[in-house]
Amino acid sequence: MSSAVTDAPASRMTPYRADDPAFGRLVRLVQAWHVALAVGAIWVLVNVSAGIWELTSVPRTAYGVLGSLLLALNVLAIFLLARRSRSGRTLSFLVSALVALGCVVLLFRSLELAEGLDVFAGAFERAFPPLMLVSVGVIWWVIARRVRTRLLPPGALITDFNVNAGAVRAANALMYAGLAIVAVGGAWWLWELRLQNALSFFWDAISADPWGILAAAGILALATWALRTIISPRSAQYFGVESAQAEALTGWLYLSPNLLGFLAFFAGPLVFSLIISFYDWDGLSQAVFIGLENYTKTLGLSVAGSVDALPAGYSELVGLPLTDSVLGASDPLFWKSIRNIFVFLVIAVPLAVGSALFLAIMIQVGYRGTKAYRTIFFIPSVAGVIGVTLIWKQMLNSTVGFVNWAIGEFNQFVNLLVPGNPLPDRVEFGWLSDPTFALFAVIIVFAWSQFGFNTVLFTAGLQGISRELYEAAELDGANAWQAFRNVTLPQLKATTFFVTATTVILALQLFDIVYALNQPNPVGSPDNATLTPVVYLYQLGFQQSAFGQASAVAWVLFIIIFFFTLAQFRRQRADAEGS
Amino acid sequence: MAANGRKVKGWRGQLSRIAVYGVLTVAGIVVMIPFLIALFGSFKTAEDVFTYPPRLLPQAPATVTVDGAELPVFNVPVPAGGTEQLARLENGTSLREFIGVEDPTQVLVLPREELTATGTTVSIEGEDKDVYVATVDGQQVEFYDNRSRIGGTYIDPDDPTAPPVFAVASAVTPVESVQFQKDNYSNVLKLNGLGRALTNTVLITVLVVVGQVLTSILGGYAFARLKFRGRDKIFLFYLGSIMIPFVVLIIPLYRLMVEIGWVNDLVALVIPFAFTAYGTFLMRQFFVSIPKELEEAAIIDGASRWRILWQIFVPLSIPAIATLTTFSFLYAWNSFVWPLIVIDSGNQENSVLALTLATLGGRSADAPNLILAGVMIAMIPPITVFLLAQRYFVENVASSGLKG
Amino acid sequence: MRIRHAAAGAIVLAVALSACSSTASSPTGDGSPSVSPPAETVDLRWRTRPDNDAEAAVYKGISDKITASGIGLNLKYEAGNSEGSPYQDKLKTELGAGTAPDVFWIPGTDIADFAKAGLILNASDVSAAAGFNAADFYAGPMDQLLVDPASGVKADGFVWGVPRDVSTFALYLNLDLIDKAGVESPIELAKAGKWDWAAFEATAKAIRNEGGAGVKGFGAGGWWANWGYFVNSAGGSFFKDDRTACNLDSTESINGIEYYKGLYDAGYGVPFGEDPEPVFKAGKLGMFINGRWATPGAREITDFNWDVAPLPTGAAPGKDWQFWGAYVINAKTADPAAAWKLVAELTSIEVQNEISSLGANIPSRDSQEARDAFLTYTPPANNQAFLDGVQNDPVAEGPLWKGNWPAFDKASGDTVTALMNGKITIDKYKETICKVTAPAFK
Repeated sequence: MSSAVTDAPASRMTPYRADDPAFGRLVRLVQAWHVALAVGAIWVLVNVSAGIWELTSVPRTAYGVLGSLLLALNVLAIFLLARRSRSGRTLSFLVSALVALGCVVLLFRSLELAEGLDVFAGAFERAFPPLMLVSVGVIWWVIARRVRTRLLPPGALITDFNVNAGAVRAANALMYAGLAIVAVGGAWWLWELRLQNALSFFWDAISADPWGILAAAGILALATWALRTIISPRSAQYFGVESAQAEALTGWLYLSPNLLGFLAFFAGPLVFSLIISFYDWDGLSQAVFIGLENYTKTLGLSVAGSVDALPAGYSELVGLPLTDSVLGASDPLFWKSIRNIFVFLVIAVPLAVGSALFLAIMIQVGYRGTKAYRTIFFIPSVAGVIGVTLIWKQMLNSTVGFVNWAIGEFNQFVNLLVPGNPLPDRVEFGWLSDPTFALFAVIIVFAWSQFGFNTVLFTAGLQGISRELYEAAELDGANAWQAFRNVTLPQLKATTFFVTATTVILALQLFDIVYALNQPNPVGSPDNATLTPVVYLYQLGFQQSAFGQASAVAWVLFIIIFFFTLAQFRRQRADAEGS
Repeated sequence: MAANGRKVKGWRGQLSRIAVYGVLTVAGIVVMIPFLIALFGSFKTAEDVFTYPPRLLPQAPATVTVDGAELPVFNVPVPAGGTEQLARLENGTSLREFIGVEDPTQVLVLPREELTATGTTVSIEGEDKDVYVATVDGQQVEFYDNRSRIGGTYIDPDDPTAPPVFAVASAVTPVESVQFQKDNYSNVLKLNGLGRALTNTVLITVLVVVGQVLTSILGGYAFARLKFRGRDKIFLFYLGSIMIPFVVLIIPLYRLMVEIGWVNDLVALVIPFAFTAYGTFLMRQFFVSIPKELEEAAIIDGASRWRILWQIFVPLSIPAIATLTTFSFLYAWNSFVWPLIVIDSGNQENSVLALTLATLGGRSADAPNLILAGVMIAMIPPITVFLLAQRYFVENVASSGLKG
Repeated sequence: MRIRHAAAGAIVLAVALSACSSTASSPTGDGSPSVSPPAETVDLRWRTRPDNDAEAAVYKGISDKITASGIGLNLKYEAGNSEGSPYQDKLKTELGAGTAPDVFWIPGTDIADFAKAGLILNASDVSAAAGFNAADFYAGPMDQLLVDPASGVKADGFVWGVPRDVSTFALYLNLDLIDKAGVESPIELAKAGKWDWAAFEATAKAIRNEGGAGVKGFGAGGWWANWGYFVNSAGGSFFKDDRTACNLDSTESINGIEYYKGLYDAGYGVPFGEDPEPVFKAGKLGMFINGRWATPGAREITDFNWDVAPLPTGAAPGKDWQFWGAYVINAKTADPAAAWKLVAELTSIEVQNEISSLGANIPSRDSQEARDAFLTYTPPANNQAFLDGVQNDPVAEGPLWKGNWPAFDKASGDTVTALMNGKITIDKYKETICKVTAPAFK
């Protein structure tokens, strides 16, 4: 096998094809595999064209096209493989990969794996306690291992004079005990899972169509074998593929799960989204192409002398100051959502960025233990936005919440200092129910849960600032404030920009907090005070079944977000080039 | 203040030290208070959550066992004067308000049977009221029956056979002590299928993390080390896709699930999210930094690409994999919008924690103490994972700055 | 070695190819009208929105009982668990996706939208075949369930569903707080015929003033029926008589909403839009307007004494709501007759009594037998307050056959929220309320 490496290097003009009769026989088998596939394709075509399978027009065409394609590709593959052509190798790979993929999809459906997961989830719930035992065992083991590593650093021997052998042995015993817990828990877990139920589930699925499943499994096995044969290094030599390209097929193969997922669940839907944004579609009836109407309806603005003079379908958005005219919109709710998100950005982003900058600077001073604060500040952003929001919902309760109580206490304190008791002892701001406050409630929750993330970004930015700059400033006689003003801030510009842009991008997609705060009232309430673009998109798509306009709103929002993303990328590139 | 990262010495240094610690501690408290409120709130009784002014520690009425029944204890005013700690035997006792005929400031609130009817009436402001006689301080005093009131019957827990004391609710105060209602946690798991949602979330998270790590390792390796035509263009697409917000995909992805028939199935929460452009990018960046010599030596030794990947690259990439795992874990555990859309409201069997919690948070019939217990259950795993992995996590966020 | 591989491969290939026929031909099997098994049992999925977990368990039990009774139905019950509009929105998405259950419950206000969109089945034929008598149920719901969508009026040949139950508002009272406030109990006042708006306001004020820190006089939800009661009770109404136009700007309607706003402005109430139920349960709320569905939650209260009283009488007596929701049939159900059989089972007197005994519902059957049974489902002691609400000149909750109820609900709700929170004046409200709701009637 490795003999080829020592042979004369392959020439660019006439590729060197290794003389490997044994592999030639394997290729013959691969050809046979393609023959079989071609026969299968012919069989499909015969059945379709002779009308043996009763199919409606669309699947009929699909079967016909697929069958012909399969036939043509296989015939071509047989021919090219016989010629030891490099493209034959690629084609054979492609055909086998497609067949394998088809079999996987078919098996997934026939074995009812989608339903199977739901069934398994039921068994998983029943068997949860033993799983907890397993995780206890794992944690136990991890801790014991850490202890042992500390007692016995890597490379040290148990016989070394400074190693406490007894303690190491004890740690070892603890590790084994952890493993034992894992083993016991695992066995118990398997028992509780009642795998016989899973077996009977699969047995039911298999007995519904045993030959089909067997066939798909068999074809899958053959396709896998053919794939392995054709991408092997021997195959590359046999077909005279240059060593630089020998791994190309392997590359495609490794990328394929990822790429297929990317295409099926990202790129495809993305294109579909763009297409339906030009249609009027409620998900039930036939979609109607309406061009840009979804966009014009969403974005339409018009200025007129009076409300009545607005075009049909437009309603008043706001009276323009200093003039008598009014601004009308064809979709006032969309503009309301834009207004809300604008107010949100203007307040929430400085809060989430400014406080982070300030705290990062505090941490960067470097007193002992202050780094731990970075971790504490980070917790809200990992704790889960729904849980965090529900806690705040409780705290923002207008009658018994901590927030209103704290404001009342603060007022009482102020009243002590200021004569005349100007402030009420007790307030009942309707953080969740009053349109004046509702958006502020969302802002509070957002800023609170995001600033810790930003603090970490800022501390990283601060660490990147060269000490020498400060030393130079000190030599110039700058005081602390001047050093901050003239060194820290300019040096932190890029980080600040990055943090701001990412926070803005996140804020533009605001939805979860609003949803959880609004429940059980309609999302966006009260009086549309918390209606954000994504909330509006959700209402359009999933409450009013206006999928077309919802997609248009999504793309409008995307363009706004893209603007910020682009700005951030440009900035980063400019910084990278500048430095 | 020492903003330049250098510590100032002397008394100004002391001052700045105090200021820095002060500011950070205040911020830390602001962060921790909601968590503490939730933690203690999750151990409260439902009534306790709604006391005003709000209290941090969970308190519940003290109880005492009398004749096998557990009764709450109250501070009750007694006829002899002063208050005593008595157990409430019954709530909702029908009482009457009796006012002294001679002295209207003399008021008794007692069940009618405690007094003796005289059969006579007295006219008060034009209304005829029945007159009763009661013994007050050893003297027979006449009272008229003014109106009905409602209250409780209280007994001395040390002497249950002694005559009971009657009092209206506003006259008594409960005797409270700090008590942790640990049952909240087991109760919330039974609520609305939350237990199932918890195990579902664990299952989904494990599958998504495994899927993302596997596809990212394979894809990242292909991008980093295997040359093929179009590779770099595809990689650019991957990079670009990180910019696309998920909201653009909600509707088409939902329609796709409808077409495949995965709506309402857990698989809809797993398969579409087993692929991550960000994770692939992360792994690729890490793999690129691994010296080429390592793998060239292995190729010469005849190792296959598969073995090179799993025996050389993966062991060297543990930090990157740990980062990716943490990101995927937090993403899968906390994801909310997609389950909200793809799992039906009536489907308790295939729900996940965030979704069930959001629903519970909107059901006014459910007590907030239980919801807070549910919130704690949902929060503890991601916070634990974060604390364990923060070494990788915080550093990676700081260096790559990508938002999870 | 290689030969063995090859031979094995060839055998597998042969098997595979011969077996391929069964996989590949499976699409035809689905399409061809295969002989369906004799219709012994029909699989049906159904859904309601239970008010609590206990009720969900009872529904599940009823479902299993019907399956076990051997009448040819094999049922799967799903508990819809979202309160408010998400329940209906979700259903619509599922109906669009084809994953909705065969029989489901929807609130009365949504019947028209579902019927007009063709999402639910007109069960006229199957119900007639099964001997359905509409007069067995309260007239309020049935008036809306037998409507011809084309004309918007009741007509022969249309049956859109059967009411699962009815409900109505009452005042849940914290008797301890009322006692503390030193005012007479609303139950007594109602018996004496003195329970009017002025008495309600005075009681709310007294409770707020005497109750101590954080105690509120009254509380009500923010949704339409709460402010709507005061509109109706003042002699006003949501719609003109033929239900094709808004009537919220009539003088009477304005009187009602103005009085209601006054209660909030005076600070007697739990702030508008905040959920009062937890406040009530915590013993900090004197009077709480809510439906029968709040009773199971109230039964868990041990810390104070509670009962219910009728809502205070305004210029127009009665006018409490007659809430209802109906079991309807998915338009795409495979077996309408079986689905109707299920609907009939679910609305039988036995099932209604079993559900009502849990406390959250009132039977929708207009019979003395059902009412007598209902009175025994205590606490609260004063169950009669609910029956009065249902029977005493009620306003039936209803859909808009010539309009769009969700649109009307949203537009009016937003404007009332703005009014209650002082974002707009009552004059502005009067001027705009029927303009903003006008699109709902297009």
